[in-house]
Amino acid sequence: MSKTADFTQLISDNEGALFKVSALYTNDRDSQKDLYQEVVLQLWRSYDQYEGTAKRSTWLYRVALNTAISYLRQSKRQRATVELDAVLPQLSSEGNELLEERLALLQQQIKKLDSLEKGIILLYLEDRSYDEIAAITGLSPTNVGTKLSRIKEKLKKQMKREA
Amino acid sequence: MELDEMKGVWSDLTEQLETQKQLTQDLIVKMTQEKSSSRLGRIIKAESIGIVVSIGMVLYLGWNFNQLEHWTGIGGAIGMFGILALGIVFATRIIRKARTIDLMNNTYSEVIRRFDEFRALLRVYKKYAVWTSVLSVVFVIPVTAELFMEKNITEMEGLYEALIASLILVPLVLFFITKFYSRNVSAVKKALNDIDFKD
Repeated sequence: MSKTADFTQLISDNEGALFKVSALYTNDRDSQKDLYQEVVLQLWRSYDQYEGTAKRSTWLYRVALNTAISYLRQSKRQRATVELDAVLPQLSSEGNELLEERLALLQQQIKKLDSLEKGIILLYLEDRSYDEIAAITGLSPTNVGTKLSRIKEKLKKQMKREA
Repeated sequence: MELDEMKGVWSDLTEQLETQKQLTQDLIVKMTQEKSSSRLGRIIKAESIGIVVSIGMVLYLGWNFNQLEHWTGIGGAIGMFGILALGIVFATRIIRKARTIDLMNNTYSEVIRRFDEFRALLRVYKKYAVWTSVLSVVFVIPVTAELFMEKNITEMEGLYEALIASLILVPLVLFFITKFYSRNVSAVKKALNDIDFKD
């Protein structure tokens, strides 16, 4: 398979994951689109350096999260009020209202976390193992476990406060 | 919402997204190239601002030209007109050349050829900027003296101080101009590396 075809296949396979990363780190659809494109560009740029020592998904999440975090740092717009509806995916079929509502609540909670916490919870929700989360974030697996427990506590408190 | 419930919602979202895959190879390639080409847009924007500022200065000088009475002021204003006009011409050429580097519709070798021409033009512009920044000191001081202090340069107090200050400022300005262009050129270079989307 050619490099371009291989790369586009990788992006197509992980379209959903990239969507979720860009949705969690931005506040409106334009920024989301911009970040999505930036992530694809960064993946393309670093594609040659990908040596295959890490799993493809580990490498992809690492690049995507690093790009999102640096995007967040650069963008002052992130301090604006969170327009949740704007970042929700187009769940077009009928009967998705409930899912949309629950997603909005979930995103609302996650967006209150800091950049690293956001990344960790996203990877946890994506069913990544502690080892993989550690490889992506650069933390040790034990540290991931500790951070994750703290994030869970934080989320619980947040939700309780708002209930 | 408990964490288990969160995971459930997330997994529902994943399923929904799986059914909505829209990206094609063309779209992914285009998306990457479009993002790269926006870096050229930054150069065009910077040059456009330069043109607007220069036109503003030309208009200001033109508007106030009849207030200049001493030959040093008149000569300075004419010199500034010349520098600004040439600057506008250069900036327009840079913009036009940058626009010919069409990342979407040209072959890679064609883009490289046009980029080389663009870089050559920038080199000439850089030399021009070095010479004119020195010359502009000679032109600006008498004009400023007449327009803002209502004195000609021979009556101006603090002429030497102004000259010394300019001598300090000129290398600084030159440093920033050089830095600006090298940064822009490397941004374009980077963009060209990004668009090499072929095997």
